[in-house]
Amino acid sequence: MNDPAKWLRETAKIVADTPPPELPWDRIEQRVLDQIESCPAPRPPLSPEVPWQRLVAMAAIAAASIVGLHRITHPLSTSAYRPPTAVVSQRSVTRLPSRSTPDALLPGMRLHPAQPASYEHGGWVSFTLPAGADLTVDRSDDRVVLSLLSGSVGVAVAPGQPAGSFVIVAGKTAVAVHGTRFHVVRRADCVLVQVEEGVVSVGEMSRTGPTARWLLGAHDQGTFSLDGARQASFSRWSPWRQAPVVASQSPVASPVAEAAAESSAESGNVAKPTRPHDDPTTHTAKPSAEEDSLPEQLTLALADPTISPMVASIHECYRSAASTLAPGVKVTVQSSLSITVAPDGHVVFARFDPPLKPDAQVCANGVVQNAKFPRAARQSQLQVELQF
Amino acid sequence: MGIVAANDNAGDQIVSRCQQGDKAAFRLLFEKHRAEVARLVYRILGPGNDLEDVVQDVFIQVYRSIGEFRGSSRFSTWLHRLTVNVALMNLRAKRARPNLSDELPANVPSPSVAPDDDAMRRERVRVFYELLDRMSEKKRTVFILHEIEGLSPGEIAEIVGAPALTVRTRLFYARRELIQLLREQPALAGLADVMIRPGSADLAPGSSRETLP
Repeated sequence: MNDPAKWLRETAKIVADTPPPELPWDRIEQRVLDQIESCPAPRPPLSPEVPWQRLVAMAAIAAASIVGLHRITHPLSTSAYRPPTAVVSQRSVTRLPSRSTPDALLPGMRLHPAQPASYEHGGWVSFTLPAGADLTVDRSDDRVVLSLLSGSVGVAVAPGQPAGSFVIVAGKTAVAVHGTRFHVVRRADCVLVQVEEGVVSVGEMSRTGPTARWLLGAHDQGTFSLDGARQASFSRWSPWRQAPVVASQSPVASPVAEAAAESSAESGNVAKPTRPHDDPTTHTAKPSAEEDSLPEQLTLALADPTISPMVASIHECYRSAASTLAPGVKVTVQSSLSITVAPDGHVVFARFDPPLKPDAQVCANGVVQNAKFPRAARQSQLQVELQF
Repeated sequence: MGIVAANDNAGDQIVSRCQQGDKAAFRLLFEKHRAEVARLVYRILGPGNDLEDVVQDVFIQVYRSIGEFRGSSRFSTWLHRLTVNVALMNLRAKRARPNLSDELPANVPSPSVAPDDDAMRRERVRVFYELLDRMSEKKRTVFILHEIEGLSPGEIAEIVGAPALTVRTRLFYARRELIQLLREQPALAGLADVMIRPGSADLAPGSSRETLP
């Protein structure tokens, strides 16, 4: 090539001179308007920010978190840790109240109860909304898709439902169910998911359905960004000690403040003997002889008896999903599987990066969530490189 | 070349009404800015992408976020920033999904040129975006905004939220990386080389090379 710089300049000019293809503006406008119909109105404009206002706001958040922290760590307190939010009894989720409206979910319906209300659909899913929660029904045929606009929802899905049969969408983040009981709380810029039983996958809501970026098992809780769960943080929770956060009204205005309170609680400044987010299986008064012999953490070598058959099964998932490729077409796909294993050997969460083809992903998720690893003294992080 | 400034009085009123949730005003805003948004998305993503869907996502995001527009910059700059972010998110999502499709990018016929020239032009643009795909998002963004959108480093700095000097540095490295890629990648360099010879498809090997005017 004589002059790459010239080639680049000229090509840039060609691109600049090329108009975009004509778009069906009426259709786009209609779709945009349909979407915003279900949106809450835009937030009112903020006044121009000045440094002292920012300082005051930060001070207010700090004060709120200190108040929350005080409630958690006060040495005279005998109550177990509870997130600094109003809570609704867990029983209201597991037992359908009399106000349930069987099979009443219709696409386009908006649920915005003034009082706590429960709903049931198809005999296999029930959910409870606290007062003030705001939710729309996007789909209610073989799959139920709900958009959580604000507040929270507690969900119980009968076991045995196909993966993705019940989905809650918050922003672009989808929380899909694998037969379980869980809670979803929408906050200003994140969504909190707490799992009581079974497995929940969290990922982006694509046009073909939910994708699985993260898997949460029983007693896991995760906080996810609204952009398809690209950002996430995780911890453990104990439903028998911490009531689920299923109320939209919180005395703490900002999730930052609450996150600070939670992380402080995790740091150990909590009245003994309870540590709120810790897995009870990891803390015993005196380790037994068997636990003494446990490895500190799993390595790939130690976990190989589980990993090898798991990888083989994932390959099988991929082969089954890729069987529709035309003859002669060879596609090589690489993905990195990150797994966090709890000390008792169950998978706390797993992530495929990049995700697999949807069919393969659903199958692989099932393989990973059912994997049982050897025990270790502490939680382990494993990374497995996959190539198909 | 950038998005048309909208900070005139009428534009201000439309934005203000949109911030109050006025859907009629939002329709006006959509009609006023849709062409500019489509052009910018098209330039960032290149041909063969989900232009329609991304433009739709941009305006939904505009509606959701317009309350956060404080008027400290021009509305056009804010819209530009949002458009760039949505387009980049689409690129990221696309990269995160394994592409099992062997579909070729959709063609965009240009009626003013002969079919052969048109095909050559498309191939050239395809190679150009293949090169851009190998660059970091930051460098890709400033390169497109400067070389294709024609924005100054100062304007780009406002959009990407970085100092103008950083923008200039990114531009410098973006150009250098692209040139390096063209030199080092035999396949791409070969394609680009062929394309700087007009009518190259008909030329026998060893024919004299002509550069573009």
